[in-house]
Amino acid sequence: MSKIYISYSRKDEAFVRDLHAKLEANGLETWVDWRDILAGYPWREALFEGLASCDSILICLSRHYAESEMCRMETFISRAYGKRLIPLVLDDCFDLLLEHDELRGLIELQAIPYASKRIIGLELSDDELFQMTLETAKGLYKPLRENLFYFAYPASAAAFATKIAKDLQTAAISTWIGTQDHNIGYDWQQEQWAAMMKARAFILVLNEKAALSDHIRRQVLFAHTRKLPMLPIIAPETDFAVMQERFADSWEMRLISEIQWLQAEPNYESMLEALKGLAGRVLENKKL
Amino acid sequence: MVKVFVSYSRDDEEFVRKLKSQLEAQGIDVWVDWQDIPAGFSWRQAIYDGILKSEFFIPCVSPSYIASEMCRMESYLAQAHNKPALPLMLHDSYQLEASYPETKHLHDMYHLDFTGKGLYSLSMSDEQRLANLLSVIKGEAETRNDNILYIAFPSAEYAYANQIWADLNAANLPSYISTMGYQVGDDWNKRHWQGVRRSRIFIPILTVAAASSFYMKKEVLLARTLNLPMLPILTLDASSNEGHLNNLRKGLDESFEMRLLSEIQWLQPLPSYESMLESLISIARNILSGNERS
Repeated sequence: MSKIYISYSRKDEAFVRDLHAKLEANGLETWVDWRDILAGYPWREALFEGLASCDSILICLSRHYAESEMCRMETFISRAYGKRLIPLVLDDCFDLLLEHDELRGLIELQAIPYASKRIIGLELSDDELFQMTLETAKGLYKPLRENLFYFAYPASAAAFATKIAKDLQTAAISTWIGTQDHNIGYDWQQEQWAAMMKARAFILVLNEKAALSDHIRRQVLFAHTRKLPMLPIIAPETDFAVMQERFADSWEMRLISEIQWLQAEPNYESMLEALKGLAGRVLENKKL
Repeated sequence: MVKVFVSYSRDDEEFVRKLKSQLEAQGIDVWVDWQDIPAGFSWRQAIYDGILKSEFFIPCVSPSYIASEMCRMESYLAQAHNKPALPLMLHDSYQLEASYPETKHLHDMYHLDFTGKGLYSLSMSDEQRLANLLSVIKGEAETRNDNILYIAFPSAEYAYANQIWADLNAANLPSYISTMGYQVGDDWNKRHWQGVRRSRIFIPILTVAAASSFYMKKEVLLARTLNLPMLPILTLDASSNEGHLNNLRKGLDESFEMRLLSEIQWLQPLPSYESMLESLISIARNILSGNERS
């Protein structure tokens, strides 16, 4: 198993010591400065050697981290060496990441959201955040499956969309959804596009907020340009009138306003059955 | 026939017309909106099809390109559909480019720089830029990755650095410099990093500006972590002007990355550039053959 270098700001030490103890208790091998620099040794050289001896670097991003020249140096060297990056976000620091060239681009990588505790809209518990960190540190990588049904959804419908995706997955229908299938440390946009390129159809989970999202409008546009089937589902508690009004204002969303929708209400199970039926027809290349 | 999609702003139409005829003269099928949208056809649909059917996407970047929602959408679609981008820079907008989600990926790529300003533009002629573009489109581009020397320099000294680069290569010492030997669309960060990692000798060009150059500091740092021998070279100005030399020493001491350079013996183009080059070549050969420096 690979060894992990932990890069952090001294000002976040309490969080990092706790995380480090839990990672080691779960069998992970780490390099940390408070233990792995011998007294009398030139410390900067020790950091260089520590970085060179690890395969991955856990980057504990925060405002303190971005402001520290030493922290930025560690990120820079890891990137230049082509190490695997595992970003954790400890507080709202994205504006500072853009200010420093060593950190530029980190914002594009899917991070573990310790600050917002939400991944692409879906809420995560502390335990889920830790499990995600541990699995990633142990080298977990989720490759793309074949015959994907790609989920596009507004953040406000993340939980509902994730439930549908899991239910389809249980029924042996492959899905790709941001809340489940992103790999930590990879460019989230590239991963989305790769999944979109492999998609057989798009499942669009819609509510009145959908048309306001740049991402959804672009995903609809993408599906349209590839002539992929789109299966719209109206999320529970959607304000229908507002949704339709906003659809009319967007040329991308107008592309789907003439497709028959599925509705989760009043009966989720019957909607799911209908969706499975449609998915089956897509996979058999039949007309919907 | 290779198909390329040229994405541009109306303000730059003149440039694009010329580019189109130059590419077509080389047997390349160029998609441009003024001829490839049949009357009565949905122009949006025609653009989508144009992008999907092309092999390369050529964005002609300028402030008006970045300001155009249509241009940015084309850039987005080309990315999402995995079409390699070969960016040209018509008027400086490197910073603007980085601030839009549809174009910020271009920021890390080598552009063919037609602005007429800056080291990347001045290090190459228009003919060389066209040849670079053509070689990538035709799949004939050769990636040189045999460098064993790496030249780092502050941007104002590109001409001096290019000269040293050319002279070292002519002496059969394969050398790397950021301004030469790239292909349009390459990731410049990765190219630099790999260039340093491949090297066995690191040559920083020193002048006052060196001590405050972000990129140079990072290159020196990286070379240090790799334990590369360093052969610093002064510019003529720094070696003949006492005041500038003192400022250089002060600047180096203020940066943890650069400090180590002040404890290494420098080479200087005195009494002549030729004599300096001769010692540079002989020291480099010595290091490469495994001998200690004398």
